[in-house]
Amino acid sequence: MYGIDVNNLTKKFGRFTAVNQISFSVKKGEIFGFLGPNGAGKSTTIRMLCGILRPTSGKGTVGGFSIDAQPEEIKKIIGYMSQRFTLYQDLTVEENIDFYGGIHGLSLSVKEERKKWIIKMAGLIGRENSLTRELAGGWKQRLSLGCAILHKPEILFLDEPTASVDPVSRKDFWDLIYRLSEEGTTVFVTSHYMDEVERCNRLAILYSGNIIADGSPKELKKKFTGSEESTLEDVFLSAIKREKNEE
Amino acid sequence: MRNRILPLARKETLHILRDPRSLYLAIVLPIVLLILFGYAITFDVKHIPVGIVDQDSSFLSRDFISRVKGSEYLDLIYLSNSSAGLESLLDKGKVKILLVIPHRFSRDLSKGKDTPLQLLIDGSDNNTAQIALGYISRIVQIFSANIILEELNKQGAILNADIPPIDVKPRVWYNPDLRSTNFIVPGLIAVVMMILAAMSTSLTIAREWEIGTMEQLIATPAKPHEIIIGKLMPYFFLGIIQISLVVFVGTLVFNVPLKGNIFFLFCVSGVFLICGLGIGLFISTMTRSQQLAFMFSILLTLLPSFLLSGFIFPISSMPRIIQFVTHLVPAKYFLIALRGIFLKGTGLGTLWPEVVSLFAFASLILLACAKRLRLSLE
Repeated sequence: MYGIDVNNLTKKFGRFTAVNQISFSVKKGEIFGFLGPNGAGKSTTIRMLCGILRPTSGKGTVGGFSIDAQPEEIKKIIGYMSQRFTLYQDLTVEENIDFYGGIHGLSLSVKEERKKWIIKMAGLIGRENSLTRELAGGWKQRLSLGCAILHKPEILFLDEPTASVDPVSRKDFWDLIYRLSEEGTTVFVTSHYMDEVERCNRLAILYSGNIIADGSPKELKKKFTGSEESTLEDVFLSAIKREKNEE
Repeated sequence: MRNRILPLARKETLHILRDPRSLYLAIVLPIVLLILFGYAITFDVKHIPVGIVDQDSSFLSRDFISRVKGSEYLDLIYLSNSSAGLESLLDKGKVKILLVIPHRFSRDLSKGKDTPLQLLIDGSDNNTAQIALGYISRIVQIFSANIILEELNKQGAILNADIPPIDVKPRVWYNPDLRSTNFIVPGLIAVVMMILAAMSTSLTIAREWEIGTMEQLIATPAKPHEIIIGKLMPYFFLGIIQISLVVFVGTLVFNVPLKGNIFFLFCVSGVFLICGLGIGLFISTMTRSQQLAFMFSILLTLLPSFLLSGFIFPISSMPRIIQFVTHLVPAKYFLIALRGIFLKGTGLGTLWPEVVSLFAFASLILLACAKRLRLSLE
């Protein structure tokens, strides 16, 4: 049983093909990394999977629901953290959590319990009534994640979640993601930090809308550099080089 | 189904409360606009500056001049015996009207001859010129009628003959003093409320696009109609406060009578508010930049409400195709309703077509918003 299963997914904006017939599947509870340079089509793919962007062609399911026909069902079981910081800056920590809890229709008791958990997880105890804009980057990031997992989603989509966070906060953040995965959450994460995607179970490298390589970090290293000791950065560069030569 | 509208409305209320500058503007702006426009726009023409050259200097010419002096619509600010340097008075706009009483005036009149009276008028402001012409003509008519009567009297005609004169006794209904303020202020309320309502919501969705929260919101199970209603609710209450303020100012500062039912007034205003808020929201779904949304909301509400609602120009005198366009301007219906409620005291029995039209517009614009929001990421 797959958490995400995608077949020949394509998105065109006018004549421009943002995502070109990509296929992949993500097992339940897996952390799946989506690597690629800016403009490769990572965000477009995530938006299609979250049911907020309709694919031009191709099929796919998320949590067993069709991304084409059942986007509303998908929205109920996923958590989504978009590339930009998307909490309301003029609301307090608690008000943001209350808002997203309300939107996801959590009952009052569940909401209170989850709120406590998230404030603790994000290290925001004592700051419940601070305006979100006054928080430092790492805190904001963890609060964003908290609001995205408030309703215990089966599948979590993270679009470059650590792009604007310092290395220590990034490590904390990935620890959290690991913990979620251990608890059974499927995590789909895009990034261009090679060191952090090392921790993914499996990876796909996206280049100009095409998946040019996929597999576990070990497999990819072997395939592209012949050595398990090399870094993912080497893999990334040589995969792209190969792709360019083929063109 | 769990209620998602309430958390959305609550969040939107917090946005409003956390932005004291905008809140302050929302309270002060309607009052300022109403007072500013209310004093600036008037169709009453009073105190028109008049100059008279009296070349005759006779008893009759002075009698005529005293009649001009007596009119509250005309201000005699220049009186001379010679016509030297007169044109410059008109050129400089010091007087709007220049009357020249020729030196044969008294002599010709007493001989029963045709007596010309020269009237120079500044036509550059055609509205004022026309009204001023009307005032002067009436004075001249009454003056000459008096002379004829006197002449007839001298000959004993009136005493002998029984001529029943037709006596028109005009009674002006609804606005007996013909104060243009009574007519303008209700219209102004419609225009001001339309602009404010559209402005307030035009920024809400565009702002969420700009800061990126809209995408987050669309990825939640919140439905377009829930987002729209949730966003409208707090602005609706703010709008009701604004309407109370302008009605208060209109009746207290401008002394416009409120003859109709105030509850009915607020009901109609509520429906109109939804039209205005809906237009703003619709604009907000069309553009992802606050600046563009703001400009569009001004353009799409200010001009139609001023020009096509019947506020300044009567719709009946517009070309047919423009008349057709006015059906799409909610301010038109609200204006008719407001003038009716304020001045005539009419209710639903008379104003139901306007209320139905406002309802129809409100429903259509909200449906359009929901549809736009659903398509917005495509």
